[in-house]
Amino acid sequence: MNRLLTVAIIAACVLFSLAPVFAPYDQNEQHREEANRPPTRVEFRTAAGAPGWPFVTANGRQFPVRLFPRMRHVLGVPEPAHLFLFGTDEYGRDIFSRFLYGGRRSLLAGLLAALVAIVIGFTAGAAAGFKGGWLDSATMRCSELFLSLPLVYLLLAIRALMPLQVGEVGAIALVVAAAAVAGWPRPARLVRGVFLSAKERPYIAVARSLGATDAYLISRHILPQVRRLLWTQAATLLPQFMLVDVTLTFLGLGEGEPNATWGGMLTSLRHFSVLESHPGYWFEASLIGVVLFLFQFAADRHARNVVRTTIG
Amino acid sequence: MSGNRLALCLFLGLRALAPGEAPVQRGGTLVAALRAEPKTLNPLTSLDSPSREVIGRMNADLISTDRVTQSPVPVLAESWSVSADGKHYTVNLRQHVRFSDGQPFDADDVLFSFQAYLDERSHSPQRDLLIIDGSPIQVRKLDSFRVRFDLPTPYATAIRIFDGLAMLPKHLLEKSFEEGSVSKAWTLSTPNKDIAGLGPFRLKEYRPGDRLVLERNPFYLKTGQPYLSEIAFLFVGDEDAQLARFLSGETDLMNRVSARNVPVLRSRGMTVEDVGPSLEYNFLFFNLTSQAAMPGKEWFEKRAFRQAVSAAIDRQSIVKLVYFGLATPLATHVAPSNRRWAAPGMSAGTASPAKAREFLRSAGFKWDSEGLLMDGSGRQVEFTILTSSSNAERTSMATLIQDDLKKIGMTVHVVSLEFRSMVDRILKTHEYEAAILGLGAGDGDPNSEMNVWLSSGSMHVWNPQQEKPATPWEAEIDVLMHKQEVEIDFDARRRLYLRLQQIEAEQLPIISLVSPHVLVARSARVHNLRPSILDHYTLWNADELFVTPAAGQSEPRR
Repeated sequence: MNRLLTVAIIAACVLFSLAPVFAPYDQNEQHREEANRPPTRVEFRTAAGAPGWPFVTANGRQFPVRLFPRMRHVLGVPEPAHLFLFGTDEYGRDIFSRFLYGGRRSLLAGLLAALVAIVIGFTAGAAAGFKGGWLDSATMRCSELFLSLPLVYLLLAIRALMPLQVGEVGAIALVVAAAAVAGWPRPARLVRGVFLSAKERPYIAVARSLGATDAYLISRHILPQVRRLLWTQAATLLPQFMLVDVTLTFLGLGEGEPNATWGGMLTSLRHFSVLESHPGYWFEASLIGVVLFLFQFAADRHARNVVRTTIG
Repeated sequence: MSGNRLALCLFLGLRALAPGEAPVQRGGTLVAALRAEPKTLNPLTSLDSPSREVIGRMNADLISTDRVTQSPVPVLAESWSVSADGKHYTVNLRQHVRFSDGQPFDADDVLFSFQAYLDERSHSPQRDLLIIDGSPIQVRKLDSFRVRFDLPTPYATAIRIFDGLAMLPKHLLEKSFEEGSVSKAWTLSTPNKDIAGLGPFRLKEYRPGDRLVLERNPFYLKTGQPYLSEIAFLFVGDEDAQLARFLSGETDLMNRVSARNVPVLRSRGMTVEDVGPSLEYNFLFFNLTSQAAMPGKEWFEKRAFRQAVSAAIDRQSIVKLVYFGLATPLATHVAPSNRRWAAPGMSAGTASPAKAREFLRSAGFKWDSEGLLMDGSGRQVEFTILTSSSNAERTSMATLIQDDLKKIGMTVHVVSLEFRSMVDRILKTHEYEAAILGLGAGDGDPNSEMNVWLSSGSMHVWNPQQEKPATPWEAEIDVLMHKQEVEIDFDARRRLYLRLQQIEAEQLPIISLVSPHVLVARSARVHNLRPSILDHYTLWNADELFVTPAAGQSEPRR
């Protein structure tokens, strides 16, 4: 199970990271004559019923699916045929390609945000736990304050401080800023706990009596204990911040059209007409759910494993 | 029975027997949906659409505009005459007309109504209509059923002033008027007995958060009408929710259907009527206010730039992809459906990136090695279009335009804002570069557009409320609009308005895009519906509508 999960996560990460390669089309390429098309039917059997190389049919002719038909694209079919695996949206853009591009962007935003939250959380938690005193109290009260802030309102406030038009970098910066403000308290509190506990251990006292510096103690004796905890936290925060990115773009607060975002794509499903007659959006919405679930599930399992091995 | 009433009864009887039409049935409830709860039931102060939809069914005007023929028809007036100089209107009122509380209506109510509309304390949005050339219309009572209106100058559409001005009951509102609190009268919490109108229906019940029910006015001026016993307005927030309730049989009408929902309705056998292009026009425009607020964006002031943008936009794609073919491309703001005023021979044409490039080249723009457009001083041409986040169609238009303009090297960003916030940026702070808006006059007449075309107008969106016209062509438009306002001869007025459209097409202060069709949906149990391109599209003849039980059931599920 763990191996299967790992393979799925790695596959998703590779697919999203290399979206321009795996997507049959550019995310913004419009095929206006092909708007709102259902998924292209890819056939694997010839007319005689024998298994064969996959092909699609257009204008009564068969067009084989080609590997690297265009520079940087793994899959494709020659014109006038099209390979719309999830169908097209209202502008004739390939939903599958946009799904991959949107995933790349959410993954990147999630990773950066998780990294920032971990770095800030670790620094604050380590300082509070190791130094104690007023620094510990101040950090913990601060973390309680930030934990109590509702995330959506926090996002709205941060968005209001940004310029009207935000591009891809700005939108990712928004998620990272949210992470910096709202994401650090949990890792900080956990790291503080480990530091507090570790610094009271006898071997730390012995090392200190032998002249060990704070830096030595932290790097040699405490950091190894925190490392697994930080990994677990990073794994937990990644899907959360991916979801933040989806939420922002869904609310229209992140990057606007034309670049693909998962939230932006999900907004189409708010319309009754789309819900009823465009199956491509269902594929995309379901897959977004599955991917986020996979990341969350993997994080939970990882956390359980850590707890089990630590206790065991 | 008077001759008129006898003729009316005969007419109604013959209509009842007309082949292909269901015989008139009395009684029953017609259920419609409102996007929001009405804010008031006071005709003096109502501004929001839900309030006006309800108030329109509860009140009547002296002279109304027929929603199908767009000609004036008498309602509370029996007849009217105009003096030779066009400055004096004498209106003969119908006799034996009663308010919905049974009190008689006469010239005193007319005088009181105009007094209330004109009083500044009433804060009535209609007041401006009654001020012509800086002076208010004078209203005089000739006798109990004759009223004279004196205009300071001839006014081209004087007769249309009477449309949309509900006549108010003096006996109910006089006290609050004298106290200066008439604008606060007739709220949703006012007892039913204290509200009366001359329309076909009167208030029966208001359930906050759920519905507002009107019942038949037993004193309505048309004998035997309305046919319906009640109209129930359900408060249903958005169109998708309205669609779901319509499909489930909870409502009988959809007053305006988006094109995207037409296939859904038709696939389920529902009747959707395409009434034709509306008077609404969607357009793109640039911020032409003082350049101090817009450093580096002097391109927008170049006519060739605007012409290039217009030439590059593929309006046919907007019609096809955004409106599923149920819209009409526009060359100017006047939709072809407005036959009296549309300029003949002006068509939107097809998109031409090549022509757009020619315009840009002629204005000194260049393209870099990557195909990006640069202005004469080497700055990349890049701007942001604002759209309303609550209007999916306009956001889609912006996305298509973004792609069209990319083909000529322009980098365009699209930002969707909450509508109010967008309007504030456009009209108040001017913190924007370009925007897509839609305007829809309630009337096809040019006078309803005064606020948009006069350089001093608050809706002169590209550069509102100018102290004096910023450009010679805006000065010419001001002259044209003022002239047509007082010109009584229709042909002369039309010539003036055609010249305005010519200037618009040349200067492109707004780049007209498309006019969506008016699409209405009704259940099979609703009869006599005659949808119009003028608001209210479906209930304007509520007094003639009737319902029959749907096949296989006595009453639809409520």
